Amino acid sequence: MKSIRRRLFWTQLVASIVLTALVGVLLYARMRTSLQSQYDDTLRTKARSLAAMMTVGSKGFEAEISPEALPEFSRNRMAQYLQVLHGDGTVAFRSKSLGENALPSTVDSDRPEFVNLKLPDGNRGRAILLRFDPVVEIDGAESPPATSRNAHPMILTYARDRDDLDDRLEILLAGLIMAAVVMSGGMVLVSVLTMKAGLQYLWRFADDVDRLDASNLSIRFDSHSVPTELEPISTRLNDLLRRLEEAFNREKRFTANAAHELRTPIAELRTLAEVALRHDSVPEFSRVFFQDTLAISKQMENLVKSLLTLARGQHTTPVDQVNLSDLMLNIWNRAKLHAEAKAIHAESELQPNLTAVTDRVIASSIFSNLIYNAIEYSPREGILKWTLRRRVNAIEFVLENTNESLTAADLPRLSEPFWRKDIVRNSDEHSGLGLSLIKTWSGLANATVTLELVEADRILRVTVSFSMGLFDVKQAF
Amino acid sequence: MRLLLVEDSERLQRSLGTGLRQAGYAVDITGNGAEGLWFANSHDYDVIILDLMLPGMDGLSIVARLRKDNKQTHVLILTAKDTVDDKVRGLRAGADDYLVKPFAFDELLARVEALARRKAGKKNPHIDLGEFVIDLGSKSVTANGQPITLTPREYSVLEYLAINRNRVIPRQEIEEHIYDSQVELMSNVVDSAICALRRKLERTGATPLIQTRRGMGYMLENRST
Repeated sequence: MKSIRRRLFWTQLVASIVLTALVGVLLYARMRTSLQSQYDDTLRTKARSLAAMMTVGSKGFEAEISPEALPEFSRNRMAQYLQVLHGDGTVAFRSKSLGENALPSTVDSDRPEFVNLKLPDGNRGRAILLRFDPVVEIDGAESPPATSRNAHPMILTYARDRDDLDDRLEILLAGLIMAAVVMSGGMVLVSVLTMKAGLQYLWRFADDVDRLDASNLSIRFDSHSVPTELEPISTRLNDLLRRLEEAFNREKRFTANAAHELRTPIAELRTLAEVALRHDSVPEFSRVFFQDTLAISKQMENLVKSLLTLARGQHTTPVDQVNLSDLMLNIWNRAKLHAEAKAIHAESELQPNLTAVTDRVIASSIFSNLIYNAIEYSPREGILKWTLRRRVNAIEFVLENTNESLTAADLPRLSEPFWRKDIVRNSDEHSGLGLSLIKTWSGLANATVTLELVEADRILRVTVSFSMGLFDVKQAF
Repeated sequence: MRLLLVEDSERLQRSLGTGLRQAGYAVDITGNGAEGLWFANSHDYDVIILDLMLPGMDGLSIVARLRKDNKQTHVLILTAKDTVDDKVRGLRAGADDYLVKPFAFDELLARVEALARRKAGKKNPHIDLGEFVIDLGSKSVTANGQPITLTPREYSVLEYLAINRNRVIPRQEIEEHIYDSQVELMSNVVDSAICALRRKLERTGATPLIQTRRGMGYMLENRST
């Protein structure tokens, strides 16, 4: 499993080590250059001083280097080395410390050159190679060296051990490494502590989320108490929880309603069977009991069918160009007899030949369910009005009927499975699934359903809009 | 025993009515709450079996109304509502028992019997009348240990007289408790039933149980030891 803390820790650790190492290397290189430059300056100064001691007089070349004044060129321990060559490569001077050994003498330019070398005593050393014109002394007077006068300047090579420089460089390197280790350790400690402090909200949040289950979906995260970075997560989680809680409650209500809906027919069936068994010698009961059993079976079958239709409300349906006007007219011709039987004042307005791309069976089910429900729930001598007409990009079916009991607060629950205004469930024909089914069917028939109460809540208006565009099988859930 | 069944499911009305009548009860049946309340106030029922979700008036309101009117009839709520809250609400409203649908018919019968016994102030399901013993549970009668075959109606008359023994019971009261509103009563229906019952009891050779108090009614003397 990926751990944010572990990932952050290792990223920080590696980054800090790499950065520290990079800075250390750059710092070391810079300081090494600087120290070497200082060392070389010392070499250069001394080489120039030595060059100034080289003279050419009437007796020829002369090096004014006495062992007393410059003992470092004579001793064996901590010795320094000097070699002076004429322009033609012949040796003009060699320090005693050099013995039989020779120092490098090849110089490519007029500028002093520095080389690292192994000294005759075996130690590591550094040498400067310098072209110079010796001071010319004529009759005891010095004249400044003139390069022009000498086509082949002399070459001075001065070498000494570089222990001092190397020691300094080693100390510097050790110091930098130590500093890098301490810094890395410090950074690790600091990052662990800051991560712990910074991520504690996340852990707390994770713990809170971990405690969530189906039994406590009403819990909400306080968006104000979490860090800004977690606020969007907290807000989204709260939204998700709200939707989940609604879905769970809906599911619970549905299950409870379905169970409740089945209790009465099961009780009827069981009582019928038990009473029949107790009194099986009474033949006249048999026919009635079997008739009741059949009716209960049909009721339960209808309920199961309706539930399955709701559950499977996402199957594809055949697409057809359906003449909704003819469809509605046929349904109304049958339904109006029932309306007349209840003395309902019915009005209808139908535009002919209105067609939509939809499912014929489902559209028919929607129309007939709505019309028969309206007749069923309208009081005697109530009002029933319906219109089927063309709208922009849609065909609209509007049904209005007298409302005696529904309030605005009931509308959102009207299409909820099993919901009924009247809690008495004594009818086999109504299971409270009608509008749920119509909603589901509408999704399949490329239509939308809206419910509203108008005229001071005295009229319930149901509007079904069939899209005239391309058929798009929608999912009802 | 006379029962009132207030249940909106017609099929349950039919089957329960049949079952209860076959078990020897007189049963009045209605599917409307308001009508049920009227029945309950109009007759002295031994037990009322009451659904909760009813058209006209809901079951809880009926119980509350009966108790408010100081009506002591035992009420058994028979409903599909099964939560603890529903049960507590029903019992606190004044019901004596609560049974959830679906239910076993035998259990319903047993609960009705228990409520009927409670009304008579009897806990023992057997009534000992000396030579005769009535088993209220199995609704059977024995004379000196030998079973006597009685029709449900005859048994009901005997049971009612036995429960109210040592008291003169007017014909009208017997009518009220033994016959439901479905039966069209003739004026001598109780006398005929008593006569038939006496004949069957006398055939056992035991001492006559039922005394006639002319102009007042009938009485069953307590001969238990």
